[in-house]
Amino acid sequence: MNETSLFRRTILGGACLLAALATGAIAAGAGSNRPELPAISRYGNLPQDFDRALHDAADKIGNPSKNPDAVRQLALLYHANRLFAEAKACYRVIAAMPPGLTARDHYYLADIAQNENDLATAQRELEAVVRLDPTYIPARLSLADTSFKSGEPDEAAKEYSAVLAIEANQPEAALGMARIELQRGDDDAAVARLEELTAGHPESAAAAALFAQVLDRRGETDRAIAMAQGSRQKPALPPADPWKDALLRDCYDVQRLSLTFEEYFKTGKMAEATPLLDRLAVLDPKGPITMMFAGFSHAKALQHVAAVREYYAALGSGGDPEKIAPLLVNSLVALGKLDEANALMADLYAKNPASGPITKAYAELAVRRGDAKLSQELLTKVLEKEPFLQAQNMSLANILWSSGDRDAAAKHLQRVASVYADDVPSRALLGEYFLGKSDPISAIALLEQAAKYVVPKTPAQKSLAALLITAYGQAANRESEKGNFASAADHYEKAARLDPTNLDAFAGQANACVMLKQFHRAAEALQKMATLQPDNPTIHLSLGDVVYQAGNPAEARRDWEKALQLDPAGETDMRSALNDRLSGRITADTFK
Amino acid sequence: MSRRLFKLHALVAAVVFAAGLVSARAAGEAGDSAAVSSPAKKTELGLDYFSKRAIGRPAEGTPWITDLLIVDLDGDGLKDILVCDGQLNKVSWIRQVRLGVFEETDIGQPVSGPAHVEVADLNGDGHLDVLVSVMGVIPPSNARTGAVIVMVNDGTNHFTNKVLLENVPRVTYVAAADLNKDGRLDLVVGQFGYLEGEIQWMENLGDWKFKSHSLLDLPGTIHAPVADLYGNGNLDIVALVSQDSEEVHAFDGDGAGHFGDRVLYGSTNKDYGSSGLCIADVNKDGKPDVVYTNGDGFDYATPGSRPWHGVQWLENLGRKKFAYHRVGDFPGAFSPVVVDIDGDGDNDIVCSSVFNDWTDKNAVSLMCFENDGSNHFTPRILAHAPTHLVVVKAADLFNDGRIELVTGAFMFYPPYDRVSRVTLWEHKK
Repeated sequence: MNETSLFRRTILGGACLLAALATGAIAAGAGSNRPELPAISRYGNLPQDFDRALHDAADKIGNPSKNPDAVRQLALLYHANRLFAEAKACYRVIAAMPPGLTARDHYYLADIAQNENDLATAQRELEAVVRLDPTYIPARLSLADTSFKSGEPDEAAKEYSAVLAIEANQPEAALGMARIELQRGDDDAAVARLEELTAGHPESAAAAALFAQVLDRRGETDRAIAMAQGSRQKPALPPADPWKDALLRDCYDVQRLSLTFEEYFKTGKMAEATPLLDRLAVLDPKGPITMMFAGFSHAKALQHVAAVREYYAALGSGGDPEKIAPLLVNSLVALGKLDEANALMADLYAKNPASGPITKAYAELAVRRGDAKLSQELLTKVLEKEPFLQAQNMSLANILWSSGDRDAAAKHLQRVASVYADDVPSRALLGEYFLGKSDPISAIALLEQAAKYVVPKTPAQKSLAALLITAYGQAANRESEKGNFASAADHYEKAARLDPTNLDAFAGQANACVMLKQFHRAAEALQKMATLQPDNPTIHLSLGDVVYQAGNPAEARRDWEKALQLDPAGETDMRSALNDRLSGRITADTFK
Repeated sequence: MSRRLFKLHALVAAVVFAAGLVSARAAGEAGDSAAVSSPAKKTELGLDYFSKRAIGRPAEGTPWITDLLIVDLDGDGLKDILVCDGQLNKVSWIRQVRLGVFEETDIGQPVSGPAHVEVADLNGDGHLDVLVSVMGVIPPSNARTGAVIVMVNDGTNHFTNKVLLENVPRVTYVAAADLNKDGRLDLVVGQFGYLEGEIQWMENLGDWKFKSHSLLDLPGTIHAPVADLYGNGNLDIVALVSQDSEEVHAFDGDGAGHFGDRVLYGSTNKDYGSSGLCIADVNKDGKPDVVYTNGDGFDYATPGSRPWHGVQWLENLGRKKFAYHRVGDFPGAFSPVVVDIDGDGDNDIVCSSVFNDWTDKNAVSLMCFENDGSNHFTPRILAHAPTHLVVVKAADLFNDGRIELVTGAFMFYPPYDRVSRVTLWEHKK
């Protein structure tokens, strides 16, 4: 890496020397073995703003031995712009004068070593940081990580433990320890730690992801899926590291600023992201990436007019339409400018018919515009290349479903359900599909899966429950017809559990239980019916019958009396049946 | 110094050999021995070293070749090329029907997002079957679209898909080896996934039944080849794990199906972009080394090169110690291959680049790190075009003692002005 940065730089011979003499930098070590500051050079890969900053920093040094902080500033400037050899030279100068390097200096030297893939040096420097400032947690975490990646898990564990002693359940340290425990084969310890970590830090997507994988491996599928939902959230903010953040203030590398902006943006660190964008706007005002990022920021703030302006500018500056067009379309749609979006995408699609991202964006727009024909054509094309895309399969399935081609829709729904374990809409629609095909068993399997992951107390949960009740009812009826009363009773019971006001479900369950001679269970169902319809004499007649058959004639009598009381002038058949029972005329045929 | 002398000897020998061939032809044509001296100028490794030509299907649109394998699939003595095509969702066979003549046909049934291909006689019937790692979805996804498929060879070079594993996180690697010494070929499976993923080995219980054993609960596996790292007769697994880990793991085998996990090396840069790994005895000391690239630049809105991309060699020092060496920087580096490309007796390292700045016509797509004989490497540019080369494989395709290369392109981001699909790089005549 040193060689690269040296290779990249263009030394402006005489101009350099003059500049160096002007700052007194070179003279500082002339004629001795003392370390020297690097010659001020022009670096072709960095903008002129960097050049000016470099000269300014050098000018402020004067006599390096008297101004170590100014040398540090120069070191930071080099370091922030990946001029590692130069930065290290600055630190050698600082090290050579009392009081020498600070914890922060060592931290930066460790970062440089890490960038140069020199883990041994990074470890040594980080150990120095910890000695000088044991409270700076990012350094301890970095030391632990570096040790782990050097194949020294025991050393790493010591440092992670030290962090956990300072801050209990610190997410990065706890995650590091869990990894070491897994590596050692101590699954139970890792699981316990991950339980605690995910409970204390539900925002830790990385912990949720690892825990989901561990649970899945251990066969705890449902918990794994639930945990995986936690891992899909926005990545948690990395621990604050003000020392490293300070490097960005001196960074003139457009790519590094772009990448860091995006990282901050993704993690929601907008306060940190915005200054980087401002910096990019100064360093690379006409760069399409800068404009695209500006568009991002405006769109996030719901300033879609400004976002559209930036996105168009980015496209006009040669930005990648595959990246920009989908964003631009979103903002145009947000502004209600569907026709403009359509014209844009039609044009881009005509020019790039093989482009996946453009076809996807055009298809999504067609769906939003309700253009079923175009949507179907484009979605089919997208899915030929990428058959498992979730949103596209669902959109196409909905279009096909609405057009009446439910069999074709079901193929897409099955594709989604087969690979997205927690996808509710595909399973719900498939359940409906199988109900329509009079296949309640297939419907139940899918609907029960969906029920595990649907958000409680939502309309989706309500309609899912309704579908399940129908499915259980269909299945129970079918089982009853086949004489499979045990299975029928179970299905009715499940339906009744979902809808405790469903008289048909309780009645079906009671009937099936009577056929199975499970009179206590039948009585429970009938009692629930009686609670729902306390004035219904038929329910009390039946309840008395099953209670009697369960071996409790006294209680049965009370139910029959209640029935008679409720309907003294009712049907002759019922009155006669009740009178027979109450007068003790009960034979083997009474309950047939 | 002694290695340098050896290299010089090898060079002289090569020149004499070449001179002899040309001399005979030239003498026959011109009757003039003066021509003998001209071939003495051995082609230096560089842009003129190879000539290139497309083989197989023509490139249409923006091809997504994800992997290649050079193998004599039909046992006719001519090496063929197996191709994973992520756009067509097919595995195909570019068969060398005659020396230097290639024809492409699909094999098996279509698979979504084939990512890696290997061959092994899994059912012991004497015919090579084709093992395919299936991602299902090639761009980042949490969907459980991964699968391991074997295309079973019926002995007449007809292949039928058989699913060995499915509905798992995206699978990027599978290879066969007898890991527990029971005489049956087991599988090493890398599930790259996205947020979740794992590495496992699948114990072959016979009759196409496999039992899974987890090795690592992390996503991001790129490659996980098998080798006896320590010369103890037991097979080990070396895995390159990217995503947020960026680590090389060695799973030390005891020969009975138990594996310990060690990190051989890892980058602390979460955007390191680990991209490819191979095992080879780089320095010819009898111990297998690890060579890996970091050149993945897809993770941000601006795909492309990063200043830290390059190639590294983990030298096997013995006693389970490895030393890290940076071989060189190479933006977008992928697919390391250790091969004595110039026939000088030492091993060079060839790699391709997919994530380079292709708006720059001087961006390099194919590079050789030439070994000076003492394991110091000098970058030699082999090509600027075609671009987006995700895989390079090397072999003596024409049985003439010289190494040819085959590359595959993954055209994932613009510009698309130097498009290719599968390219053969052969020595200039």
